[in-house]
Amino acid sequence: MIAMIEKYKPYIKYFVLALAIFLSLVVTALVMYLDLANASGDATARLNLSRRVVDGTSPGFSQLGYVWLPAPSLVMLPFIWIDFLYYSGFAGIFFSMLAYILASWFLFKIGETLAGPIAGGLAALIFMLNPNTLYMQATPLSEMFYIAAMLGALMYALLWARSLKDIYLVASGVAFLFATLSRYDGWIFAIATVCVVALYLYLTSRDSKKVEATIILFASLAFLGPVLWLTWNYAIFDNPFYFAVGEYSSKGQQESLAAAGFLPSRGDLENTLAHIWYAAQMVSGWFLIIFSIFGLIYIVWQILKHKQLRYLFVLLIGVHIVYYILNIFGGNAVIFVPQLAPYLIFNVRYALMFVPFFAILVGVIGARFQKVGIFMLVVIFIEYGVMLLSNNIITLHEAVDGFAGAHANESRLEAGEWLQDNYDHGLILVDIFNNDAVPFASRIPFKYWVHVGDPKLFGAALEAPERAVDWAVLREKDRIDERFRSGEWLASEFDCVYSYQDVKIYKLRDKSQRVAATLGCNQNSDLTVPEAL
Amino acid sequence: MVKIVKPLISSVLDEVSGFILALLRTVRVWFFFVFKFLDHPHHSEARGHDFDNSGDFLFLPEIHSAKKHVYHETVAAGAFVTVLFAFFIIFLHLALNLSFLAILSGLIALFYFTFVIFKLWVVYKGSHYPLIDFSKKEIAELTDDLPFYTVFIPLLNEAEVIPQIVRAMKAIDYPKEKLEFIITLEEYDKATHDAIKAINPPDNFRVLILPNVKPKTKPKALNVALHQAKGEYVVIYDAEIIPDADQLKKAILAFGKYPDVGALQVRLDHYNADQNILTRLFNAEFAFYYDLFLPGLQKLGFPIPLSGHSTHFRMEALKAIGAWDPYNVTEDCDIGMRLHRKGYQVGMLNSASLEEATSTLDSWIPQRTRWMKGFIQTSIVHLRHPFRFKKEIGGWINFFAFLYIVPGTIVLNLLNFLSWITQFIWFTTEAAFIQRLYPPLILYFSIFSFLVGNFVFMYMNLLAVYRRKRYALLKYVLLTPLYWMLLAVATMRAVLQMISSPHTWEKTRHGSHLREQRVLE
Repeated sequence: MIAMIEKYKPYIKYFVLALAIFLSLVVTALVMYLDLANASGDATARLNLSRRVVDGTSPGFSQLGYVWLPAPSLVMLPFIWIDFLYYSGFAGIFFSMLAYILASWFLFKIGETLAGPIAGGLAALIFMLNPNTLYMQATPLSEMFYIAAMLGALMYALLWARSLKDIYLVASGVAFLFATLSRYDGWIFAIATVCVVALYLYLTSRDSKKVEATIILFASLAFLGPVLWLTWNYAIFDNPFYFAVGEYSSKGQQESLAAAGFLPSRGDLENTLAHIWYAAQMVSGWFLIIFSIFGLIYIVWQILKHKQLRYLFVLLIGVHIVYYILNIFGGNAVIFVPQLAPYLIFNVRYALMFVPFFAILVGVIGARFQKVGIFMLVVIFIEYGVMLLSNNIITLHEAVDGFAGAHANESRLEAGEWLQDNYDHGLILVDIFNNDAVPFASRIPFKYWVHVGDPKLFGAALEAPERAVDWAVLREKDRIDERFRSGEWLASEFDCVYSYQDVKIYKLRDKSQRVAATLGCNQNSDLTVPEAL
Repeated sequence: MVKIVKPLISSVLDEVSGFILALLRTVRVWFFFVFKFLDHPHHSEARGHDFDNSGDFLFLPEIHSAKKHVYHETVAAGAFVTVLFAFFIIFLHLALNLSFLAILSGLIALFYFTFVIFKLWVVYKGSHYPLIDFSKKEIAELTDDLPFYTVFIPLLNEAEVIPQIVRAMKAIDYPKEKLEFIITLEEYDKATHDAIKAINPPDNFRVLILPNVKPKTKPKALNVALHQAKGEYVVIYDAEIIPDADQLKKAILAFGKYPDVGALQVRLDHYNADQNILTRLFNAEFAFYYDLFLPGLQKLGFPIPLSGHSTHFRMEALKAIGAWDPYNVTEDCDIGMRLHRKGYQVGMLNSASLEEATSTLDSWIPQRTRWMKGFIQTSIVHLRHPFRFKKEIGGWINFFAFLYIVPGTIVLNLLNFLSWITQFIWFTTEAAFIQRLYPPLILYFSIFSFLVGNFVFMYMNLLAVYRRKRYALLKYVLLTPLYWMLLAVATMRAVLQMISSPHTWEKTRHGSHLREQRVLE
């Protein structure tokens, strides 16, 4: 077996690339056929975010908002305006597929640079065949996009470490631009990489001037994404850190969860570690984590004993684990696992960031001890097989049955479908935050929806809905519902035409009254009312 | 009846046809009068190059010189482009339903964006392209049987740096009997003359006193010296230059290896780069220009604006293009274009010449003003016959490359200034009139082009400085936007000077590093 691997070593890269393309196509086709690609609430929200840039009462880049970093939404723009690609989710899935293929390739190159093509092949296979990876590459979510950018940045940094050619550092910086503009994880990863580059160069050259210059060259690209994002927040929201403190920021969301008693990990390190452990174990599998511990020991040994400093770069991906521990402990992010209170599934997919780390650790040790490597690979694949056969793909479960999954979204999906059949004309008021599924399921273009993305119109509609909109979608405890409860202003002008679970839909009672009012409104405001459908 | 009608018809037809022919002739005459810029030879071209002209030492036909800026052709071409541009703007106004100013701001953003792409393309090509180079062994293998080389040293009020230039010239590794140095001096420049006498240079140094005729410019001095030169090859070194000792031998090898090359450009660097922030930023700019940009232009076969010194020429090529234009204040940029038009290639030689970076604003601004003014002059001169220029320069791609390299640089510097002012006003006052200039899509495009463009330009400087291993300089490169502000000021000054004193040569004062050194000592 080992002789055969040695014989075909030069062809491993082609195999990896071909398999990645094949798996991506087959699995995506299957997931789309089963209508599972957009099951997660965040998938719909991702698509909507991009779509709103080209479709809405006030389209434009300001629709990108401040919560999610913009790169995944921006790359979708050439496709998102096409209805079929938007509603099928393929406008985003295409980039996840591309990212999966690139990530597999980058992982192979990282392994190859560190310990030869066998290490690269092992790492790539472990990553590519993971059922959670496979599912996530068939969704429009941003995780795969980030992983590809992050691995690209790491691969070029590693190539730089090997050759000290500045062009690799520039390429790594460009990859960081995508990574830091796709997920906040990228920011901490960029900081860590800059530190490792500095450390590596100092240890190999002892030239502090060169280190300083190299860091300026590298960091000015690697940190460009965060600088642009801070500038954007300042330009649009008057606060460079609005993404961290704004109403819909992650922190803001965690505060709401804390108020509902849903944040048990905050300030509890043991609980935080337990959440991270369960999430990692469910996404990666027991054996991958166990084997990777051996890999970690081997790499640390190589660094300390044999001064193999290039292995420092591998440890970088492990920064993601530290990042999530700190974030969850600090109450800025949350993961729910079914094993721990509140016994839900939420954001377990974050643990997907750990898979490349584990894969490369196992790849390196597997290439060093090839017989053990084959054994490890077989065991890991058996566990993957068990995951598949026992229908235990946690990211898929999260998308369907999770806290923000399809079932949790059922009332909104139903409401959207009802609107698809019953909507006849006019504007619809909705609190888009957490209700993304309604417009998506209704298939009514965003130019007929009044939401917070057009603050003037939304504010006017909240103040006097009969003057601005024909419909209002209310969900328990959302902003419109709260406004309704505080003043009961909908009841006098609107009829409740739909009610299911926590969602109600109201329709304006007297159309002539509304049209007259709107004409008055148009005289001194930016309100625009499109023609009825 | 037939007898009467037939001649009548015939005479009417004759009249009509005569009228039509006369009309056509008039239209043709007017057409060529109006569209003279298309490809109509100017009377000054009939004589060709006049190397005997000792009036103003302009050897070129006047139409190819910056002696006079406004010709019939200039007005006609300018008017034609303006009308075409106006129609284009009106078309966009009607088609897109946008205000004229909004269309203009969109076009500015488009220009900015394409300029960024152009520079990235050139730099990408340049970073992969090796300069012409020779090993120490190849240089050592050269016998003493070398061709004659003439070094021009045009000086004016340079008494302070005479010891330095003579020392640098004496250090050149080339057989003394095959090398001559011609120092040109103005009659009234006694101080420099005395300084040369005092240092008692070797026999192969010759001082040439220039005739007291206008224009008093460096290219005129070079043209005067051209008559005296014996060399098969020629190079210019300014007062403060310190070239690599083996530069001439490398040039000889390069000219021998590449027969199509009419001129060789070496890399310029500064020996006082660390003097202050201005010299550091100047050095970063040169690092980019000579290490990334010019090699890219060479690789792509685009015309190369040469530098004013350390450029090596074949004498034959120099004579074929009519030598320097004494009226152009960047005769170096102009000569690069003319070499290209005549089918000569310019090679990038991997050899360095050290010069002094102007270290004070009162010398930097005039120097840069002159460069920008020269770029404007060069644009005007070469675009007098745009279609002929397109044909000679190598087709539309090279034509547009010229537009980006020469007039584009002027426009970019001015637009930078305009963008900063506009954005400053917007962020401080949120003035409505600025908002009207930028409808959403144009706003996004403008901001993207401006932010990304400026970052890309700055990053290319960073990369070039890093490649020169000037590590201590890198952090200062982050201040490059301030340098662009200065560039914008100099460019505006150049535009104003084009109106008030187009041929004025603001002399750059050298030796400030020596003065500073003396103060320190």
